[in-house]
Amino acid sequence: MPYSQEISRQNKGCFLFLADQSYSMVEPLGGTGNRKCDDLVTAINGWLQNMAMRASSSEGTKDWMDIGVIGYRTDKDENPIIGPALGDALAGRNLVSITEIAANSRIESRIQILPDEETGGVIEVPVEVPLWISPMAEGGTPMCHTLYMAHQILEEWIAQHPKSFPPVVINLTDGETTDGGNPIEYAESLKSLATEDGNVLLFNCHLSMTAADSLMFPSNYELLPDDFSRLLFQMSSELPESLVQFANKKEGFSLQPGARGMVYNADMVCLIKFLDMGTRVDKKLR
Amino acid sequence: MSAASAASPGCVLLLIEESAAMTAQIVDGLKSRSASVATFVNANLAQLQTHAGLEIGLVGYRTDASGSPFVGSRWAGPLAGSEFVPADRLGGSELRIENRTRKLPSGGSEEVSFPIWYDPTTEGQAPRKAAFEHAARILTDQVAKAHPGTMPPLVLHICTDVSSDGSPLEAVRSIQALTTNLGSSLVFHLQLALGSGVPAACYLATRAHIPQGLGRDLFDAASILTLPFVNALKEAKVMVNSGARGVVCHARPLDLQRFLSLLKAYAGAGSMIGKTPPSPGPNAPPPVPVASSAVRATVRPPGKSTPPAASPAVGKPAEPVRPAAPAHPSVTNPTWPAQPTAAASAPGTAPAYALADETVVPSAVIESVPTPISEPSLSMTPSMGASSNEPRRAVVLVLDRTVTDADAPDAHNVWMRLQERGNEILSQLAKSAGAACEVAMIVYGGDVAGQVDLRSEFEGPLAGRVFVNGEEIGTGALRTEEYEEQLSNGVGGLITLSRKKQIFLDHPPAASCSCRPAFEEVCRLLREWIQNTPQAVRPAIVLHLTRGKHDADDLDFAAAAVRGLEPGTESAVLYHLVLTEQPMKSFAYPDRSSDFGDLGIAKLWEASSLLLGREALKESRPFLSDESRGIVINGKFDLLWPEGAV
Repeated sequence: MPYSQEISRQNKGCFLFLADQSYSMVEPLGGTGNRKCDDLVTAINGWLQNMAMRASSSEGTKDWMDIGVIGYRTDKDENPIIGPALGDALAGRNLVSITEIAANSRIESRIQILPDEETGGVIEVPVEVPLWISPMAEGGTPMCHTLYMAHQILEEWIAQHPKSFPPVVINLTDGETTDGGNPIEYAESLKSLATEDGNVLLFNCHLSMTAADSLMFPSNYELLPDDFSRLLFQMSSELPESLVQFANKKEGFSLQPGARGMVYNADMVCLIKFLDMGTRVDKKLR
Repeated sequence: MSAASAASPGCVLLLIEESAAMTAQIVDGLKSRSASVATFVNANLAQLQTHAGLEIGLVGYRTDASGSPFVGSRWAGPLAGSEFVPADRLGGSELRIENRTRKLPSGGSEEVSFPIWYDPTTEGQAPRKAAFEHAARILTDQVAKAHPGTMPPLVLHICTDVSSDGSPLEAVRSIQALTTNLGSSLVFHLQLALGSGVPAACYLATRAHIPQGLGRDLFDAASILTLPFVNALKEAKVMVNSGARGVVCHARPLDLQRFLSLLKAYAGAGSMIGKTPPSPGPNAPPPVPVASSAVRATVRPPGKSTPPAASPAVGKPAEPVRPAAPAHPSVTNPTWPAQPTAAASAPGTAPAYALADETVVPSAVIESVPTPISEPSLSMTPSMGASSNEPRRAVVLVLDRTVTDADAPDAHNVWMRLQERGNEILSQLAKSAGAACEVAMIVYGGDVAGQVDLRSEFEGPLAGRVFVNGEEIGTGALRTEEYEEQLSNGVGGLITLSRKKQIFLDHPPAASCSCRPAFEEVCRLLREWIQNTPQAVRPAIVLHLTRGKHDADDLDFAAAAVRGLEPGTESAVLYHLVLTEQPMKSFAYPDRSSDFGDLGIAKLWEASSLLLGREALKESRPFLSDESRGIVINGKFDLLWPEGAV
């Protein structure tokens, strides 16, 4: 049965984020006052922190997954600028181990919102949080080039980890590709890569500027509202069966069989849920 | 009474759930639900022994070990095998007689003999449909062989959890269709509380206060209480509204006892059984508008400040608003009193306000092609409290209940989603609109007769009110529901908050109809409001929440009608929040209609006014332009008025 290999030190997992850094990412997310690029970075940094904590054990950080964050944008002349977005000591590397993630963050102060038991409202508390990536917004959206680069990175990784749970690619974007290709072809090519445990999983998240109704993990092509959502649907892998069951039983979703790993018109809450659910591919991550 | 008693004894059927859910402890009591029910059933049966001729059925329902429905008579011991037992045969036919200790009001206790007829077993699920089908069969036989002068049967149904085999409604209806010369059969329901969080809802006249689910289903399946029951309940100090139904949701032990005591009320009812109580009774619900020339004054709730520059009416209940209201010095409360919608046109009654003839929009205006209006510059600042001279703004929500398939499940129903948005917007207005904002809502849809069903009043605590100011809205919820909201925690995670949401609107979906009468009503109400508001008036905002299926003519009419409201120099604006029945791309405040690919939606865009405050909002919301209109498709209308985003 595909998608059943446990993620472990012997059979590492791999999560690759493709982060849209086009100029439109300065727009607000979901009708709020926050910029998409800031919220995107906050969500990915939060996910990385969560993974670093999960990997920690009494014997130090478990070296059980490799992680990459690839940013994509263009310069003024529409030339793609695609490359690793992890900063500081990890700069320039497409994939790093979770042990390196855990050991190489910079700490900054942020405001965390916590529930206030007394009033039922929320309180704001300054906290020190680890950060790995920074916001960036410039130029266009060279999505096809980026999917091609992901293909190259993962082809190499798969050759080294043939028995592993297949890599999970999470593409986070606010718009259509501007580099002229048909992203479905590039997505198909990426999804055709496989380990012995199954094909690469490609999940896509579309961020909305307005407070539009969102659509999470749809299963019915006919019920999609427009061409771009249909394109993302075709680009996106089906969620593995065990993930659908987990989402339905434990997380309050009611997903249908064949649900695709995509969200359309995401706001910040959708984005965080999507990153969380889309990466809970292994029992140990649930 | 004695004359009727010759033929009046009838039959009652106790229909009792015996599923595994009945083994749980009764809320606010010590015993299991099943044991509590048995105690009250046995106690009430004991009191029926003297009612000669009354036939009593006792039917339980559950599923057996194999999951099959186990429905049937629960008479046992000497009565085993009977469907109906004459009341005077109960004595001496007990299963057993127990000695029980009874607490005395004085504080002591005494031993009493307690006869047991009903001793239930609990198991499995609740095949309620099968149970009512069985009840319908045995009651049909019973009515067929009874004297036509007997009372129609009464069913008292006791349950706690959802049906395991579907809706019993059809079978209930077939029971309610059984009649004798004295009236129709009655079916009353009681649902034992599942948890202590929700208070009991007893004998309600409207289902608006009952959340969706079992309680609603039972309400729909319950008969209206007739006079003997109303009287018995009032005697027991239970508040019964006019038109109340025999239904109790989230019942506690005391509610159960009162419910079963309806057996005695039935036994003594005789020929009164079918008689309906006079309406409205002394405990009638908040008055509903009636077609009369009387104008009801609106009394401000205590604690609300009256504008300082006010009038002789300060400190007194507001005086009735007169037809000459605009010039009347005593009118300081801009809240519009309940306005009987039929009054103006009812023959022989003077119109409450001398406005009716002004509300019709000239046909020339209707036919003119609507163009976006230019609006005055907005220089006002957000304000929470209403000083007497602060400009007032009216916000009217117009809600379109129409759907393609009114029988589709709620979850797929566009009206349920629109209504949720309406409730969200009203909750937001309650939080932030302040006293200077006056809110009205108009709900429309087609009824079974093909007429337009138009409602322009709040229900529940603010029943009868049309315009309610922002500070008061919060007091007007039909009910409050708890839900969990997830929020970003600011550092890449989520927090879950337990929230309460107020429900103001709760209507079923309706058949298609024209929106024109609703907009005629909007104009009538707004004209009246403007005339009765002595303060300066900001442009009224009319937000139409709709699935977007309208005739172009009706939309032209709506746009022209709203735009025709020009207090001073500022026109009212018409906005649209559209949730489509078929999937369609989301749009927020679009500045052109060329992207829609749907002529109906393009027409709605045409009918929508330019978004108020777009120049100022553009800074933080780059999706706005100078031509942005007040229309949102498949999203949230979060920029309702320029003083602050909702």
